Amino acid sequence: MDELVTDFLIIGGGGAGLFAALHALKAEPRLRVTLAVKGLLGKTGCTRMVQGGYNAVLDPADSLETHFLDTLRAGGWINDQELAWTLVRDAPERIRELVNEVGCRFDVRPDGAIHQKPFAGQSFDRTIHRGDLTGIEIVSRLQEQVEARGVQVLEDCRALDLVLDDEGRVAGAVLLDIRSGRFLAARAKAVLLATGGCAPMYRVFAASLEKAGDGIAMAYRAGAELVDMEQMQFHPTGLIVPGSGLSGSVLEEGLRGAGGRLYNALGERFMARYDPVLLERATRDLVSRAIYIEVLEGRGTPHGAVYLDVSHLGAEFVEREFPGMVERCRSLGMDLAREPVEVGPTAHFQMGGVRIDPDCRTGIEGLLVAGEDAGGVHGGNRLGGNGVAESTVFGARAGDTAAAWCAARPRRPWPATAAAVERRTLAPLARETGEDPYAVRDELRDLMWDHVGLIRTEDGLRRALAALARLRERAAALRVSGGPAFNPEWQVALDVQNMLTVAELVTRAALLRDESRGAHYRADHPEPDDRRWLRNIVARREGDTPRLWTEPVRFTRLAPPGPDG
Amino acid sequence: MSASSAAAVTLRIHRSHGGQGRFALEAGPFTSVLDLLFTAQRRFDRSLVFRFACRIGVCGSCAVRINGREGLACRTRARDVGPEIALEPLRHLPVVRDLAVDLRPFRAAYAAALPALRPSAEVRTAPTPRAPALPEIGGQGDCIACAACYSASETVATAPGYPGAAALIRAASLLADPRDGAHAARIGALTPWLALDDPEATVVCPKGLRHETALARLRAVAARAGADAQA
Repeated sequence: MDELVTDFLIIGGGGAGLFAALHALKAEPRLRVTLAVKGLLGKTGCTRMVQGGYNAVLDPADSLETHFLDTLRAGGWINDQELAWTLVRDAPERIRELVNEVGCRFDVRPDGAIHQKPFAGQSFDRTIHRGDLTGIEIVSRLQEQVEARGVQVLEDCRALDLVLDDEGRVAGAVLLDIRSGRFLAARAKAVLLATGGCAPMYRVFAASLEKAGDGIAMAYRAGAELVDMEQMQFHPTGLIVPGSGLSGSVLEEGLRGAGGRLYNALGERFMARYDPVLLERATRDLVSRAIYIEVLEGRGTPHGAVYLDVSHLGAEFVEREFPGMVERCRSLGMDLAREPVEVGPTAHFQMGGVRIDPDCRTGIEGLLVAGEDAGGVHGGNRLGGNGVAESTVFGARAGDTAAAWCAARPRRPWPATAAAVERRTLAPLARETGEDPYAVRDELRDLMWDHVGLIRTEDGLRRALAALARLRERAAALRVSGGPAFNPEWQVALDVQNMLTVAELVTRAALLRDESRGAHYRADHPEPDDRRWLRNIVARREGDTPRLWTEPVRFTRLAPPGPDG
Repeated sequence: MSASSAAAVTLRIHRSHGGQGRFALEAGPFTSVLDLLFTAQRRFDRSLVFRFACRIGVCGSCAVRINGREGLACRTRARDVGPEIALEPLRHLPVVRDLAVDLRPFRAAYAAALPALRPSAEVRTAPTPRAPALPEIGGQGDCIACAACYSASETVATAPGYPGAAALIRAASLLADPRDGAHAARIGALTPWLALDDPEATVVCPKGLRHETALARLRAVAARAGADAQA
């Protein structure tokens, strides 16, 4: 195996990975930082795709306490309160840094202050944005700064597994150069997993296509603890366009915030039946479930969708306020400003992930996790606008922690066991016959959508577990054609292995939580049960299977309201 | 042709290491070129390599030449191209495999414009965000660095080291940014290139950006700087 020696290895180049690189170098300018991205620098991940915006307390009339309370309410009170507090406390400083040091431009009000728009679930208008394409601005500017600082960037490079020494401390990771098919032993003093989550394990998903839960799966295999894995957020208004890859992509919440209306195939404004007061402005989980039920009960369009109509807001208004989405619809021959478009729920964000402390440390020495692949910040449900805030806040903190670690810790010895990763990874190329990774991925997506998606039942979850076990057997016999050099089918095979690992954790946690809270909805237990379930579900690998247990939420800062409110 | 019927499409794809190059496919009313690539790869030749990520036109990964003209595969409807679709990788960049290119030369050229904000010390240490409220020069904020303009440019081929139209647009935007402290260095780095017009470049920009406005502004600033230096 080729060898690479570095100080700080960052896996993933979204908001968290990019910011971690900048902060690590700010703290320690002579640090060797290596950034491995699965595709092209600055073009992978979901930070780039963010439309809505970034929540931060800037206005003197707002307060950290209010943002904190909004975050906990959305999270069903099972957030890790120290992580949530860190998020709201650091976000304003990250905004200052993004503007004054990184060069981001956000929309400003006529009086020169940064414009903060309203977003669902928040008691104050604090969502910072650049038009409806905030993510492009943030990632482009971050990328420029990273490139200006001599970070070693490895493109088309994916991590296969973390490598621990004999005492269970991180020695680095085995990487795969996708172009050449060569393996790389990347020895590092600190490793950051910033790979995002696993929304693409569902049939309809909004996320960037290369995401496969790599970070969560690798951390699980290395023995890290995972938390809140049952919590998967579905965005209610994904574009539904049969035969198009654009299907599943999000039409942002602002459309409903501005007054957009939802109609089923019978022309009914059905939200009146689910939330007669808030209608379309109810929370994402409620609207998503409502649409899902409408379609399930036969009131959806032939494509399995409902209609979103913003035409009554005025074409000029829509074109001015939501230019990115208008353009995307137009490229399909649809006119968002003047006619209804078909939408439906789409797998959007993974609240659960690797358990971290506010400095991004996991239980494994040398391992940091930041961004969507970390769990606990959002509890049961993420507020719109808190996602890119999470990536940048914790990416920055991971960079700070890594710099301190690299100064204080020695490089760990590289164990001989790392060679097994290469053998396991090459196995699909060596088989003459075997299972088709695309077929396994399709079946995974279908079963997760049907049984571990918006509406879960004990029966459905048990069937899903059995189906996952069968899929795992088939995945152990995947076969791909061709050689190791830039082999896209092989990449799908590697993706699907990680997706199966994450899928099992989500399914097991969903089965355990016999109540409904946040994004997790059990039709057989449709109400939250505060008496038994103000707890987090934690998972960790034990031998070949996960062990799950629960821990009471520690209300370190705010106690939830009692039964009387 | 009804809106919901499928139309026959022939996809011809540049292959760098052998493999099937011609695919007989069907395109529905919403099928994009990227959708066709996925179908071709999965159904007919799994060794086919092409780039993708966001598939909604914000990342720029899928920039290719479609019937000779640069565009984003994910945002180009097959119906709008026609029954014969030829796909080739972007020009002026090393081909890694099939349609996937190495973007490093593009980024190296772009770097010549000093595209990262270099805030003045006063801005960097300011306790509150200093958000400028200036208009974009040529819509720079929408550039997704897809390298379509770099590929379409003839100047890139004939003038080695030329930063490219995207870099000029970025530079002009930074020139108008009161937070930046590197105006002189940036204009100095770009002055040798400002005599070139590069007319083919941004005609193909998938975001509709044009570099001519940025170039005019850079020329004006460079001329003033030159006049000041001689004074």
